[in-house]
Amino acid sequence: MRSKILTTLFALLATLGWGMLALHRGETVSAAWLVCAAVGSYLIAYRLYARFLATRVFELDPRRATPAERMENGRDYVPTGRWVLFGHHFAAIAGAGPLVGPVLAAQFGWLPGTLWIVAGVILAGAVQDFTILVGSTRRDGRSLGQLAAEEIGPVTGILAMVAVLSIMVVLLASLALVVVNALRDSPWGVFTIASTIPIALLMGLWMTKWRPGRTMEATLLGVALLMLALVGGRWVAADPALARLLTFDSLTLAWALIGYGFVASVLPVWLLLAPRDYLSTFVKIGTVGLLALGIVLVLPDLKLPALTRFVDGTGPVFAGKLFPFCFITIACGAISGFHSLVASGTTPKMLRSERDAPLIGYGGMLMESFVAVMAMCAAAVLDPGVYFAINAPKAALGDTLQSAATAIQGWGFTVSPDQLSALAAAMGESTIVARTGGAPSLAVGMATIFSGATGPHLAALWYHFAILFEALFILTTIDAGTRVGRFMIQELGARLWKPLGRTSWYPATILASGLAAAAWGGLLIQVVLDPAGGIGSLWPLFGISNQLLATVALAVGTTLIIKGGKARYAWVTVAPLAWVVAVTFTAGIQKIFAADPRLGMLAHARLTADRLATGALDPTTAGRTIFGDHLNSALCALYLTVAALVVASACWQWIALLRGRIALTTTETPFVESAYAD
Amino acid sequence: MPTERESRAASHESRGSTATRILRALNSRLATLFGMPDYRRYLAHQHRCHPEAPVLTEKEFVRAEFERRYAGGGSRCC
Repeated sequence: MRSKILTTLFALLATLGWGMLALHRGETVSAAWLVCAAVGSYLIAYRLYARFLATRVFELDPRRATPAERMENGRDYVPTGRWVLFGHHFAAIAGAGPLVGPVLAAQFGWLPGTLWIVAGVILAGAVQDFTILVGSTRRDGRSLGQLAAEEIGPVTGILAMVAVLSIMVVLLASLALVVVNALRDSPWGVFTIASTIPIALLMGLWMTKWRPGRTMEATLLGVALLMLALVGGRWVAADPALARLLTFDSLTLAWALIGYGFVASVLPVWLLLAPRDYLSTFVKIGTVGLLALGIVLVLPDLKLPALTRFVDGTGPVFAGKLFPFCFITIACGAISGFHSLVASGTTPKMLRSERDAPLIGYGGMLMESFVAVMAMCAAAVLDPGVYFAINAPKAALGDTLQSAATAIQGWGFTVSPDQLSALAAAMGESTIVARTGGAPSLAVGMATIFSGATGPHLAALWYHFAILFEALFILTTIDAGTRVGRFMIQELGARLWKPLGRTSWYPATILASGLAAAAWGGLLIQVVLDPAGGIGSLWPLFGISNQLLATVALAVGTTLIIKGGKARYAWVTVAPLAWVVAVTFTAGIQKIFAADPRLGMLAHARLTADRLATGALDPTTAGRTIFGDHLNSALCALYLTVAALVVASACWQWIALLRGRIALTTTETPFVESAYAD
Repeated sequence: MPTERESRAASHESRGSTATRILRALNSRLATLFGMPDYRRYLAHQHRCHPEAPVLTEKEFVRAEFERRYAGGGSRCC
């Protein structure tokens, strides 16, 4: 009875939220309703859909011993309490994706992005994470690649790994670009972010050499020092000599980040990566909580319209119509293929009971989606004129505040040059115009929300806190990602010449790290140097690759479900799979072959060649741009091919299974009774 | 006469008042949340399952844990 009351309550919450959003008819609507609609929907979905998946599709059994129980070793196989594991899993899956994607997708207005963030996670993203978590847990914590190899075929396993490696390259380049754009011409930002490196080094020495094991102590010390650096940045920016010293352009910052990724991935893990990881997890979880609190306390109004004219594909932030690019841009906020790696990584080895799987697998992804909703709020509380002033590239806005204001007026939004310069001053920056990449926009939004609670004089501090928050875990991802690349390269290299695989031999590690850093670094430099490049061209590529990995994960999930004898429920993964395939293949093909040079990379290459022929461009820039377009098109074609092959071979498997030509054998580990009383 | 490892394990467990024990429990939970090495859990497991095996010092354990966790770059998303 109590259960029915709760369910009804959640349903009312969701209905209230969506109802108020639907009926606002032109008056401004409060962000409270957006949060209300999202949270209500999540709660309903968790109570009804997650429970359905758990009981009917997976038949989760609390009496069944998990690998954490059977193979407990006090190290990685450790049964962990559900809420602690929830936090651990969430910290592992939550990155910059749910923060950048919604901010960019707000170009279409807040409605389409929000609808996909909520509907997508409930029907696709959380289902994927949950399915892979259960599948991996029942197979001793095997990884996605291993699952793909076992369930579909060995070639598929290799293809999955190729997909992962190539996605990492685009991911790292995209995230690095976000940081580059956030720190460009920002001495305060550079000072704060640069200081995270010595702080992490200090923490590393503290927790490993000076006071070993005192990791929490070291993290708290690190956070304190970080806050000092944040506040200190203001004085640095105010001093003319120091400010000039720390003002860098995009290219210099890009090289600095590539250098950082290379060096950081060679250093021992305990010195830089591990302490960075703890620091960024701490700040990440804390800030997410703070943002939720801020939105609930301040209840700001959404100033951005529900739908803008740019659904037609003419948007300045990135090219592409609502379908398919709204879905591609949101990426991790609704479904992320990358999560399937985490869901088949450390989490399955820590699951105490199968009964905890819905909370961690399904619930964890719902939480990430909530982060995306808050990012959408932070973007939508901005004046539309301000939003486009920040997120449109220089090519669209021109070089002066006046030209920017004129361009924005041409799009139907009003903003004055004084408004823009006043906002920049309030944020402690020299300018906020054409500060693309998503991070400055999110920071201005977060500063606006927090200032609503603490007063306007702290706006600059909140702005730089938000930049720090995002850049902190992006740099950790760059370190970790380059390291992953290095290991994969060393593994492959060892097949050619054995010593290359030795992970403690410096010549091999330096070479492999160099190659890994060069791979994403090359893509980054190419985009930074391209005058028409930027986050608008790189992020859709990341979105496409991420969603294609999701198709691989959903294909594997479907195979697991069918082989488990639950073919009649296979629609839970097949339906989202079909949708994501439709969206990503449309997007991929448009990105390569569209006639509009703003959208299609090959068309852009042709346009550049024409302009080179008429003498409008110099040969080096043109040559580089054309090469970049061709390379990115090839990369995109590679993703599409790999995904198509995986999905096709999976389909072939399903048909054979359903027709009875292949026996329904299960690869699940045999049932062992759990010793836990509950 | 307690062995060196027994006394090390014992000293890690029994120290402190209620407040210290609460803080230690909180520390342990937060540590798992962040994936930090938990030496006490390791000691408890070794004591329970491999009583005769040699046990690592805290310094060695922490180093080994970081290596294990981040060796491949760690499991982190976008």
